[in-house]
Amino acid sequence: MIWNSIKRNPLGIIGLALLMTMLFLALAANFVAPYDPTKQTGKPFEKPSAEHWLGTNDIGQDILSELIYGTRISLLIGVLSAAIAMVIGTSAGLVAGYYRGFLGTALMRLVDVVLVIPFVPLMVLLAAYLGQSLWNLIVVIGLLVWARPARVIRSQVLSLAERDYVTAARSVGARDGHILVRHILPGVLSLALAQFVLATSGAILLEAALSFLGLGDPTQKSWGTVLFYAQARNAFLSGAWVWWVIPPGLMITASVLGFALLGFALEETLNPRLKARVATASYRAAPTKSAPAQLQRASEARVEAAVGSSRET
Amino acid sequence: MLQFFVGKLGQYLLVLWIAVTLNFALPRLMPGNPLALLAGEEVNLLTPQQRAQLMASVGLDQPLPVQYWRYLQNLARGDFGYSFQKNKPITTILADRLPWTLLLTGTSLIISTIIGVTLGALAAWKRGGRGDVGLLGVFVFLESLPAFWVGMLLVAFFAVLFPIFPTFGAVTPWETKQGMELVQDILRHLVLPLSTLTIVSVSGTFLVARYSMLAVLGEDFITVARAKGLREREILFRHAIRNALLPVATVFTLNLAFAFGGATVVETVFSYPGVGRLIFEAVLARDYPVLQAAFLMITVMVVVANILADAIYPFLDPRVRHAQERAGGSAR
Amino acid sequence: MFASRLVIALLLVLFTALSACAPAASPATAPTSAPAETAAPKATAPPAPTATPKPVSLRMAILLDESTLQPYTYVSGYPGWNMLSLLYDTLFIMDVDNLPKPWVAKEDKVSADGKVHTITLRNDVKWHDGKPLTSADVKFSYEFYKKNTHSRWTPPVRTFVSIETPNDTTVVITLPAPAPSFAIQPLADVPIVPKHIWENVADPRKFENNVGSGPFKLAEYKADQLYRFTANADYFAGKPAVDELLMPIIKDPTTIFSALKTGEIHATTRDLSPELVKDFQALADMKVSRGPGFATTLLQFNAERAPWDKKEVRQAVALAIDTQKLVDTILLGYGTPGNPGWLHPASPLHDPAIKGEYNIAKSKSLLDGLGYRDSDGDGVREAVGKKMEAVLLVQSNNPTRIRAAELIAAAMKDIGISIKVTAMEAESVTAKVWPDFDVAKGRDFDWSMFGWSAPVLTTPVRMVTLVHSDPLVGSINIGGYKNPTANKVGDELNVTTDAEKQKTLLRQLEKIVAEDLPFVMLWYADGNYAYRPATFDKWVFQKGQGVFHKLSFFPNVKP
Repeated sequence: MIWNSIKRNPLGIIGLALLMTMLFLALAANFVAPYDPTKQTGKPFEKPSAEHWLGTNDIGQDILSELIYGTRISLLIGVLSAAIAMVIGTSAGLVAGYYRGFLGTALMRLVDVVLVIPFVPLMVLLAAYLGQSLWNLIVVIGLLVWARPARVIRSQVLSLAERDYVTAARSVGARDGHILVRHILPGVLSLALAQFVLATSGAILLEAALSFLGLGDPTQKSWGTVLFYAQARNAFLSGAWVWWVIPPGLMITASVLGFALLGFALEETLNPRLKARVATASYRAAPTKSAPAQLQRASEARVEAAVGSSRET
Repeated sequence: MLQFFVGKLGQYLLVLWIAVTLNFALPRLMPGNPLALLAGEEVNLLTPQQRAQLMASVGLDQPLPVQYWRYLQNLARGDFGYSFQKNKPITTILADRLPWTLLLTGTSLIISTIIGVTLGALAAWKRGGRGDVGLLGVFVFLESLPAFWVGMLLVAFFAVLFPIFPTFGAVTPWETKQGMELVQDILRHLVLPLSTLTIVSVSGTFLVARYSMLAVLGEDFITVARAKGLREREILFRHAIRNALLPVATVFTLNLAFAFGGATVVETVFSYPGVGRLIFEAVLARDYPVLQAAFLMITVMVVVANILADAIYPFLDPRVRHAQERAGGSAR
Repeated sequence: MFASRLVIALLLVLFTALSACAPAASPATAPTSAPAETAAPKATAPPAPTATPKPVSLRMAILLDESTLQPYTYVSGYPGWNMLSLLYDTLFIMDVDNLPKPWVAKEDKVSADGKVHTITLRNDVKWHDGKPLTSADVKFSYEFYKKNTHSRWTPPVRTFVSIETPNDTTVVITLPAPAPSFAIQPLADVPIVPKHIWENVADPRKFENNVGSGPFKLAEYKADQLYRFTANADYFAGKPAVDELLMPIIKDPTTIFSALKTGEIHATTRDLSPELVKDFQALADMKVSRGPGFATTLLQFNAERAPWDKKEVRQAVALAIDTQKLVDTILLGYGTPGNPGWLHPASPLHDPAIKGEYNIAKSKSLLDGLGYRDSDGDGVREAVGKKMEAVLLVQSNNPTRIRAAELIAAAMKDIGISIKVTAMEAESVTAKVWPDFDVAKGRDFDWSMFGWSAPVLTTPVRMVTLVHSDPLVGSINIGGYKNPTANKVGDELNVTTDAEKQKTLLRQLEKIVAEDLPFVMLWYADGNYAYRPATFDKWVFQKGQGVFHKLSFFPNVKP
């Protein structure tokens, strides 16, 4: 079903193609890359030549090899951070959507607080506090990215929780945990998948921005780190930016684009809220008549939309 | 009804309080301290008593709860204190930076919204067709561009290769211009950072507008309008857009709040004097007062925006207003 | 209904439009903290047909905001202190060879026991407000610094027993013990402030005033944007060679250099990165002033942590590091490889017999000799049962140091030591290596990349602060190194004023350091300063400092 939905969407196909290429590069790096990027195989700051298609960096390592091996790091960071974000986000979304009372509201207020703290400074704080290693970076990005999926999943759970089969299950005495896992979770999975893919694209961009600001892990050869050194060693002034800045940026864009296109294709077809009526207050999905509840829904949906659209630069 | 608003307000105040406390705690949890800022650059030469004296002079020798209480007290009085790093009252520092920040992020927001809404509605209208797919592709591509990369490339092209625009700053610092000349100078300095910021954030509004338009176009009343024989154009502009604009308006309000936080990466690349970069530097230097004040400002703005949006919604959406009225008399 | 929505939409737009309009007013009327000086000379005078030279207006960019630029608020040692010295004078001045020479003071007579300094001042030095600078101002300044702690001004003056001012041009300072570097610190370092302006100041950090006696006056300060200095035509040493000095603040180094290339600025205090030197030298309208730098980069050991507490291990590490290769790769040759004994190889105080050595075989045999072999075949030696591994901390905002750390880690792999390079934000590294900037508080690290600013190397006796194990004396002995012999030599150095004796003692200390290696000296980076000669060409290179200092503005004055 998922495959069909992607097939029908040309953008989804492009996204998938980009991702397949990236995956290939990551897996086959040993064969595709001409050199070991951690070894000094040339003089520093060499221009592109037959031996080094993209020249060498500031200490004489081959840039092309750095980019190819960088696929591994950048994808790893993106996928793992998104995975962490999804685990937290889905759990939070499930709980907040199912338990509508105090627990649910409290959880959503927590999400509000996380969203209210400015992104980059929080990142700086966490980097200083936890240290700048690869794993810390993954955890931190995951912790920053979970809020949006949580909201989206929660909205889905809200409507799922009112379906007949859930009411039926409850009436026969099924326990909450059982209902959550066996009835609600499956309904949320495909949406979660779409959110995961989107979160990955955001995570890769975030890693690049953080590395550029000097908050990433400069000992790992991710695309963001390549750009960090390019900027730090004045690539713009020496003309080296053509082969030292444009290619890594293109790699970042291509992979983020791949995930984003795929994610959008999935979301288009899998998010039932988008299929019918909504993004604004929906009065049909939940037949509650009280104004407070409607206003509540209105503000929830609005924030959900806002969360989806705001982007920290 | 009143109950609802009071409850909402209560929740927001809670959020505010938590954020304020976090703002206080987080910088102090980081390793390192602002001693270097207070002491001057050769800190190692001070005796322990002298260090203690310095920390005491700004109240950092007190136990945390005492510091926290003083912090809250000062907040209530509107006293944000002095920056450790810049030795100026923080209100002055923020007042200097805020107009530039809003000029950059605010203008970018307006332009993004206009472009996003127009093209988003168009894309939704032509759903599935070549136009829609094309636009979607373009905007997702734009969203995938790293902001600093775009900025750096713009600098390389337009400021160094073809020197049309200046490479840094908000104005030419060594010339005091007036009137039209000043406006021109500001605009010249604004072009590159504004372009960068807009390029990478326009897709946000586009997607929201497109989705909400799609939702509206699926509603019954549109089907009814079509059945009535209204022209497509009229349906689009008189009926659909007005409804679709609601989430866009609320998103706009929220983003306006975030605009107070500046755009750290763009400000860094262009040396633009905004709040984003201020916060970044304050974190690195452990300038607690600046951090506390700046975070607080952003938090307050976001909460205000939330409350504002909540308050405006009934005005914008008559369904909500009617539901309120039905629920029991006048809500006010 | 539609109308009401329209109204609201319009209000939103209006609100944002208003907030966007606001800044047009602010910058032009931004509050400045400088005393009311007239604005930069606009061309109101008719063009002079006579040969009056055009006023020289120099734009020199800096990287950081230096706050209100008075002795308690300036931020960085370089260029902050240098900018401060444009506004305020010191009694002596460091000349281009880093020797202290009289400046505001005419001479300093030291008593036979070295404890009493009789300083005679010039009588033609005036404050910017016209009042004369007298001995009362000197006495006031030193006592003010004693009372109001500042890390750079307080330590040299806190031990003063008394300061007398028998007349307006004489200051008599009594010390408890001879101070060998008295002429350097405080005389050539500590700025004199006017008593009549500062005498009632309670909180010096909040005091916004820049009246000094220096060659420039601060005409304007726009926070995070610009400093504007105007020449003090009544300066005792003559009129400075630049009439107006504008210092825009550009936070990003790449932007500084591209602005220099496009001509938006004429010079910068930031030294040129190695990769740009050739490019800039090749430009027709640019010149690059080059000379030795005294900022040091080193690999610091935690001498309290095994196995790095054994000097043979440290020696083995040093033998495996090719400092020449580091200079060639990372600095592209623009630097001098480190001298294991700390002193700069070009310094007359340095013992030429002491040299760095690169010898992998020797390194390996040293470790073998200790019995630290690789017993389990994983490529890493074991020392007394534990693997020889270390975490090498490096400041994440310093790309060249990170590269050096990576190259060092690769070199260590060859000799069987496993190094993990960990980049951390600068303050966090300091928190581990030098908590609270207090060596008495201990340390929590294995190895760390570190560096000291130029003044530490420029004042030779400060070497003692690097190696003495008493925290009050060895205030930058961040590795916790302990050697009683080094302490003894250090203690003697701290009270020796005779130049020849100083040299002997320094060489003794150098020898100890070169053998014990509490740290591995990696390099002294050269100073390369690019500027546009068309605007101002009289820059004088001061060894270790660069071109931005008072004497560049007085090219004909030899102190």
